[in-house]
Amino acid sequence: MKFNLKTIYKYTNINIDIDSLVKKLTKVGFESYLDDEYINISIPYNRPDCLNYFGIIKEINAITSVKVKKIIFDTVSKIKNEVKIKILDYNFCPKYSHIIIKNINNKKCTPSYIKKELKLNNINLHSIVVDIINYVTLLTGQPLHVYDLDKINKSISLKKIDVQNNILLLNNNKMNFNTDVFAIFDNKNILSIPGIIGCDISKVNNNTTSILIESAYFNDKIISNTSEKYNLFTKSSDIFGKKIDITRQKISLNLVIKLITEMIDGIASNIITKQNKLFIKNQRKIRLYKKNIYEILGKKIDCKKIENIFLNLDFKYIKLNKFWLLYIPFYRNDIEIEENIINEIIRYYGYENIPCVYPDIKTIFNKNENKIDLNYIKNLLVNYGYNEVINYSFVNKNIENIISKNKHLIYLKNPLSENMNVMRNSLLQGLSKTLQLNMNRKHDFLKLFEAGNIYSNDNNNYKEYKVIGGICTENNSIEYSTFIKKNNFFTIKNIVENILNIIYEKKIQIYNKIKHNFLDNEDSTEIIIDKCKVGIIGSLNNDILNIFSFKKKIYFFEIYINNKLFLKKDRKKYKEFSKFPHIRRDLSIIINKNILFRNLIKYISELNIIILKKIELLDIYEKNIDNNNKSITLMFIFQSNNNTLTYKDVDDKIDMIIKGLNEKFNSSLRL
Amino acid sequence: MIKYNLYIKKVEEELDNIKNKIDLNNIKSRYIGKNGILTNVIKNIIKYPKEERSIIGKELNNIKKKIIYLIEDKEKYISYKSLKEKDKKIDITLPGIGIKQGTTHIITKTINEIESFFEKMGFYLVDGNEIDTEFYNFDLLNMPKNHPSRNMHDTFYLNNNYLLRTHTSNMQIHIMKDNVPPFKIISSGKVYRKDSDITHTPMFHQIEGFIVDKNISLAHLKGILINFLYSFFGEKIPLNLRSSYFPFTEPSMEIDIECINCKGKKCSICSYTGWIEVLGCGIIHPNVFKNCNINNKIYKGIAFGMGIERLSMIKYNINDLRLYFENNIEFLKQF
Repeated sequence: MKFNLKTIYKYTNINIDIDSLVKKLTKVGFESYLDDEYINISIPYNRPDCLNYFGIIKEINAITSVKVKKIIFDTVSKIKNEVKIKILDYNFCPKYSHIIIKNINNKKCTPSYIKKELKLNNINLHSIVVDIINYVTLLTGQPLHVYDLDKINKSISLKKIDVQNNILLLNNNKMNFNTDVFAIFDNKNILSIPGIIGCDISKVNNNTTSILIESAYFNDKIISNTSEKYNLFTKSSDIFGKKIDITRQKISLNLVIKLITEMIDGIASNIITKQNKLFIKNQRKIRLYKKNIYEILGKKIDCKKIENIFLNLDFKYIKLNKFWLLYIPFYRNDIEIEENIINEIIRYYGYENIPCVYPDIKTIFNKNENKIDLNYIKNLLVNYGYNEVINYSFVNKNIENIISKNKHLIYLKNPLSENMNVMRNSLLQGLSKTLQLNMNRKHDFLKLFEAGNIYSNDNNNYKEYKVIGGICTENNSIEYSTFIKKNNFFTIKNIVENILNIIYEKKIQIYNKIKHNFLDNEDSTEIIIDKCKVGIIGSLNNDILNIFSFKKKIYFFEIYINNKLFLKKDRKKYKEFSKFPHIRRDLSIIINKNILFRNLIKYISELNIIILKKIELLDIYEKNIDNNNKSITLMFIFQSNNNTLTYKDVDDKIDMIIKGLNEKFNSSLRL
Repeated sequence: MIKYNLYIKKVEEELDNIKNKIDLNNIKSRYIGKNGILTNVIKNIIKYPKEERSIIGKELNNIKKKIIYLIEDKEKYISYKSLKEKDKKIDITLPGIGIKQGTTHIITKTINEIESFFEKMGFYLVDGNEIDTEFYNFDLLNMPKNHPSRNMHDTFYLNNNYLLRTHTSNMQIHIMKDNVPPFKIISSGKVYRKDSDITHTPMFHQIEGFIVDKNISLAHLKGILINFLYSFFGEKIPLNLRSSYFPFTEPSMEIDIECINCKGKKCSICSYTGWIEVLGCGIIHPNVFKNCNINNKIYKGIAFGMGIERLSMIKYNINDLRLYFENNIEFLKQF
């Protein structure tokens, strides 16, 4: 909120320079900066009492330890207040004050200093009477309402509306109010919805000569609820909704009288106040224990210093042996518990005066041990030449629907834009857009990855899963510098397998060719461990290539790492390895093209050759072989845990393998 | 005897004239191979009278040793020579061959820097969930029903109940509600606010930590955080501690660091204040404890949170927040 420096100095006795005032205000939680002759102060949410001059002045007085300048306006009543008010619900309205002023001239112009002040705080200008009361609200924080006295009957009452009513409000809107809303009535009409807005019927205009001004306290909760229910938010409802000071009604009226009689003549009446005395008697009292101050702040603060802070804040107190009993001023509605007072103490005592202490570092059993180390995986990808990107979690709905066919997406109720209206169900859209952006900038060889969450709606159960995914162009890099010139299904598969080995204990990985929404049918697969899908690999299909106008082959992979069931659970334990030399044998066989490598390996492992430690693919080719066949060269490593193997041991096993393969797959040896 | 010594001289001469391994092997087999000249001489030693045999035998063995030595010496020389010749053909200034390293995102790097400090301080790392209910994200954190950050203007809602978390503080509640103190937790992740301009992105990252224990106070909070900031920025930067308001802590404070750009002399980066806000923290509000069934009489809690983007912008001199999620490779490759 912007405050005029002149006005601040008018109502205070402070004499510190403005720079130190700004600094001090910022220090106690009111971030401020200077703006010409104004000071712009951000008022914290819990301090609506400072959203007016009198409030911030109280704070400034406390900061500067300056004695409060008493603000009194003496006014003389010259006519009798002939309007009677009847309040039917003191819970809604514990205090109601009003005056009447006659013989005013509402045609005059509003003085420029008031206009300036109102404009500064985005308050619209009206006639001078309305401008004056708005100005007074700005000063005291007390919302006021003005009625044209000649348009209303002399006896008014505050009660709930008894029949549903369509009312023309002073902002020219017609609104239908139910019977749960409080209103001010004369004997014929509804004059206003108190605390929120006036009605057209009692509205003042330039020709108004007699007015009634209302200065009341309305229940904050009832006002906010009504505002919300009817979607009717006004400056007044906003202020009442944040609770006001129940002691400022009279002073506000006196200020109004002073300004109006000075500026536009008028004869004012006495102030009539109706109130619920119990409410006033119920001043909030809080006990503050000395030991709690130390426990929370970690420092013993001298009692004199604390009491001095109370004095500056205008907190009355009784000092007892172990605690102070504090009487909280009515304008400090934010102070409800002991901690709030400790906050006040530290605010003024200064955080810099608290010592720095290390807490004891207790041994915490390392529960982090078995968590998957995402950084380890990220570094692995970095070593494969991938760059990490971070995309927004919300993506374009239309594209995501193509990518995640038949899946239930999570839509945003209030998205920022069309391109961000659904939570991603795959990393693909974000990665593709990033790839597209960089390719448009002439970066042709790209390998990008992202780790983050994807989201899905399982029967209105909103779920998020941690995934890691990557995208790359087919060409790896300029020809010279890489030994693998091109990325293909198998180079990606290698990366994915290495990552899966980090994440999952189980190694049984089944690859299934799948019909996929966004991957090519030929070179794509899903990866399964124990019937659970843990990832996909493949090149993007034409539909997706077209969406992002990719002209080259693009590979994509995605790994799901949130499946707790399969994550590594146990601490690794050292296993004894064989100290005896191994023997290697290479075998080239010619075998039918359609026989999957997986089946070949599976068959050999099912021969249960204990000394066979490892089989690896050395070479595979189809050239110079007849059409139905391919040549596969395998490397076998034999090793025993108990003794040095002889050539004969190994030759027997190799013969067994050759024979077996021959019988099972009709394969032949290639010599 | 002398005629045998001539072999040495002959071998020496022949070795002088050769330059490759093949010739060397020829010489080797000619003299000391299975049918070599010297081998045959040694084989024929029986022809000599018994008394001479041992002397001649010794002599021949010495000659053989000498020849072996000469050949091995030459062998070493040849392989050294050939290595040297190969080297000569290499332009060692050509680029290395292999994969050029990629990079992790600057946010990942910054989070790692921060987390490693707190892990060493004994904090336990947890993950929070990004989709949460209004109840966990606001209500239990003592955020008033009419708090402005709750409205559709500031918070992304998924339906009437679920939303995208607006801060990492929801994690605190989940931990406190489901476990028994003491706690010493650190957690980082994505948060969402409906804001998009030069200084705001609708998604950003926060890191949040809290301790719940007996005898824990504001002094501890100061001790941890001030040392963290010194460690993170690598120097004893001047700090400004000031009072603040958060619904979930009381008292609350914010910490500013002296503007790294102007060293407190006021510039556009620090909006002419000389200070940059980096961190909010405080004593966990008793209402939050109550909501999580933690006894405020026995336990106290300290909590803090900070924005990753802001911290990394300051530390790495990044002047535009939008770079973070634009993912231009020229930006990514720098870190």
